[in-house]
Amino acid sequence: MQGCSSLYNNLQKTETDKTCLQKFKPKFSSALYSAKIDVVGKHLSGLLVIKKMPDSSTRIVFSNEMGFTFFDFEFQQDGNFVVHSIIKQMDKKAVKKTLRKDFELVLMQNLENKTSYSFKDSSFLYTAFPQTKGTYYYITDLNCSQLVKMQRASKSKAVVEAIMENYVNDIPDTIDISHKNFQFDIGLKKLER
Amino acid sequence: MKSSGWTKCVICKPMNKAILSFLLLIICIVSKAQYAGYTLVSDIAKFKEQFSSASQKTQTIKSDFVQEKNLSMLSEKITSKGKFWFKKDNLVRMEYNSPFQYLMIINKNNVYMKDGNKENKVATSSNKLFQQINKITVDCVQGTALNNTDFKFKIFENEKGFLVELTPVAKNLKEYFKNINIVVDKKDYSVNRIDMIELSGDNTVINFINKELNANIPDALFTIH
Repeated sequence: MQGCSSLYNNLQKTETDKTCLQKFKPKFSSALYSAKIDVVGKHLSGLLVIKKMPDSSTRIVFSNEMGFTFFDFEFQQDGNFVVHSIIKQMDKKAVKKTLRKDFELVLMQNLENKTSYSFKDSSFLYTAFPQTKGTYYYITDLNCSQLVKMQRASKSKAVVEAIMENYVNDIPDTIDISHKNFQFDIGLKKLER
Repeated sequence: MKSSGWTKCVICKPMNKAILSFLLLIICIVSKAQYAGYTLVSDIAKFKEQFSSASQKTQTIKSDFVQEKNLSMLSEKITSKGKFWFKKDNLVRMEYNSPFQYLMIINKNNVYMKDGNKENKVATSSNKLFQQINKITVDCVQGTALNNTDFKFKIFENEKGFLVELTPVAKNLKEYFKNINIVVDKKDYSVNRIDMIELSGDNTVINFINKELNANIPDALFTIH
């Protein structure tokens, strides 16, 4: 058992069935989102392309409406992360690390091969994936029929909360990622092409 | 030994020549085909004069546009469409309406952007890069691109138009763009197409269609509230 200050420490452990999460994993063959990012008072909007590549990696490219690329990231199947390009203003270790973790949380890549444990309370089922630093939580209803929210948490509190909603053809129409300890919100709305 | 040396001589020397002339041919083709169908214009002064005198006659431009961003590594293309207005001096309105809503107004040194319901006002003076990028757009349509010292340029032509190849000289622009190419219509020197090529090889092309020159455009379209 974890210390008494831990997040969710008072919850009852249950059998792990992470296969139930598979249905919430977005199947981004190629999706275009309108994106809004708010960072400590600054507002940035643009377009985000999420594309599954033939080698099973996922590319995320963010540009402004006029076509100017802000960043191009690659999330490899084995968990490796490659920055293909990033504008100088964003090229900071903390920014890249934060974006990497935020997108990893919602991409749900390779969860089936990761160690996990589950627990529940009266309304929700929590599936936890411990990382080297912190833990990813996927919170569903007790039947695991609906993904209520996702969290990245330190030992004692949630650092990031995210939701994916209104799946059409296994791709969520809305993705919202929001940080708890400073203003950093990413809002994605799927565009029909 | 001797005979093989002799054979080498006979076979290889013409071979070398053949390879050399083949290489020269390739180089010729490649350098000519830099822009397929275009040839380099040597009299730049004349072009500049015609370009600026024609653009002096252009007080306003009203046009539709189709923008295509090509992500080469991803084999993806993002196409968007909208309406474009330009009025002298330094007034530009670009209104994207498909597949997203986005409005950008350049009014002298200020830029106003609106995505969905979120408004954003930027004094371009506070952001050097933004200022330079906006200057490109305005310069391109206003015909002053050739006086912009952030770039060096080359001019090419075919029977229908001129292609102005801008290569950034300014350091911060060099970090993003390999070239910005502008295709100008020969009949009225108006801009048909702007192609921004990033260092990665990805590019964004804006094609201006249904152009109307010197139509009456109210100033209110460029008002930043």
